[in-house]
Amino acid sequence: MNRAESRSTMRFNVQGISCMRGDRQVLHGVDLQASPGEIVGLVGANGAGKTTFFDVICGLRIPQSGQLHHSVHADRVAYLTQSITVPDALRLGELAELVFGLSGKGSARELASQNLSDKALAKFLMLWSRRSNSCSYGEKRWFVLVVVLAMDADLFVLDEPTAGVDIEYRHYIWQAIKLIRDKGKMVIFSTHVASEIEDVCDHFYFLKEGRAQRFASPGDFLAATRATTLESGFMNYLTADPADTTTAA
Amino acid sequence: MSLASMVASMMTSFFIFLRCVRILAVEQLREPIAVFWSLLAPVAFLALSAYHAGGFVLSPEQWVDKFGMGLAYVGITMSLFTFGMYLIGRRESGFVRSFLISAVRRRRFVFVQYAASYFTLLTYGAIYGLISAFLVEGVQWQACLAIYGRFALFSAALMFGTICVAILPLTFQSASSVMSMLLMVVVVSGLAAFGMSDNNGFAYINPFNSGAKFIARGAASEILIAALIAQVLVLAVLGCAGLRWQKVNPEWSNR
Repeated sequence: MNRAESRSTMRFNVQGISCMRGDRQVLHGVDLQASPGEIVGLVGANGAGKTTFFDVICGLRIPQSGQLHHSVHADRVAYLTQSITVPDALRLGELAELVFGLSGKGSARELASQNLSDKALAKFLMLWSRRSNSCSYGEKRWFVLVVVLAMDADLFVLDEPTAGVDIEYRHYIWQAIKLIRDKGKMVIFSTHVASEIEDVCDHFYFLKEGRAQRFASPGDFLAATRATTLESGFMNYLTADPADTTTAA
Repeated sequence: MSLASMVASMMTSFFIFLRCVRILAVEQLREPIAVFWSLLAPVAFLALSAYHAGGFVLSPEQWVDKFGMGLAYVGITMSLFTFGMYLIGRRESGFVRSFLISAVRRRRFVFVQYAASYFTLLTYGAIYGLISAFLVEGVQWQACLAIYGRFALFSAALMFGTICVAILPLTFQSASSVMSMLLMVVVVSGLAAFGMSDNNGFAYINPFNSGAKFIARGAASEILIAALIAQVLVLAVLGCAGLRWQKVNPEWSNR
């Protein structure tokens, strides 16, 4: 299915999500939309509520209010959490086999290989038989991401997929994510890296003080924040009065 | 769906299940963290009992009760520290949240982990039996098999009940402390109760006592049978509650 065909099949639509953590209101009526074949970014300062929002849309946290209008069943969502520890005693390939086995799917190696270029595949197979405790954080992070992307899902939620990963593995990560997008899947990811928003997003949201603002393109964002670069735009947006940023956008 | 394709699908699911069990069982054997507490402690207990009895070997009569206690101890420590801690650890590492989003996958994971831990437990029980064979004279292998069979039944029920730890809001560290305290209370109060009369119902409130007696002697009295039935029912309820309400998010995520 190409991107154009897939757009007509389903849409992910979240409206008015509000969520508390303890006595703190983390999300205030957050809206977010994504269509098949789109990569949607989510940016925001540390503690802005990005992970809480992802937990909500993956059904792991119950919001106080709001609706998730989407035709994606819980079984069709794949979630790369911000932190995951691979057990030291497992080989990375065993972890992949376990994940796929628990999902009731076939061969992990075969499915994961489909999203990789030749060079990335060679890296993947090299890591396959290595014990977790002999791999670097970046290698484990990338391997786990490849496993998540190989899952039979319609919506991929990736919480800071490139955090702590070097340039080479970051390149492979985006290569694999773009391939998923080209297969008509929806990808929602969070990041603190401005260039990732610029290079790969179809549109993105800025989460600030529990409210999400949609920007159709980096150009729109720069105009709204009266900035010349995304980095300075992020700073302007974060430090501006909330009423000003909403109006400007 | 035809019968043949249904059977083929069930066989495929079964082989996938076995493959997952093998991975987790191998993981536990690579990191045999429970060896010291689960295996060496009861072996030392048997050896010291033999020494206390005035020699290096025990008579079958002396051996059977002590061996039953040792196996009950192996069952309890392996259930709490191997199976229970793995359930908490998988949640703590983010594995459950990342890879087991649906309730079906989480239940599947618990059963796979249960089977792997149970396999390890049975292996430890068998090793303990082989080691203890050097400390006893004149025991028939049929009796040993019957004891081992009862150990397998007792441990299966106990391990199923341990699934309830998945509900508890504990970090890996705090779970380790809680389980150590629980084990100490169970073992110390159990050892104290071993002096009680077999007809005293209080002697069997603690599963360590009822388990040890059942493993060693079978369903020896009506009071013991009643205690075992009650305990199995409680463990079944606890296990089902754990399957139903297991927590997904690690404690560090402020859940």
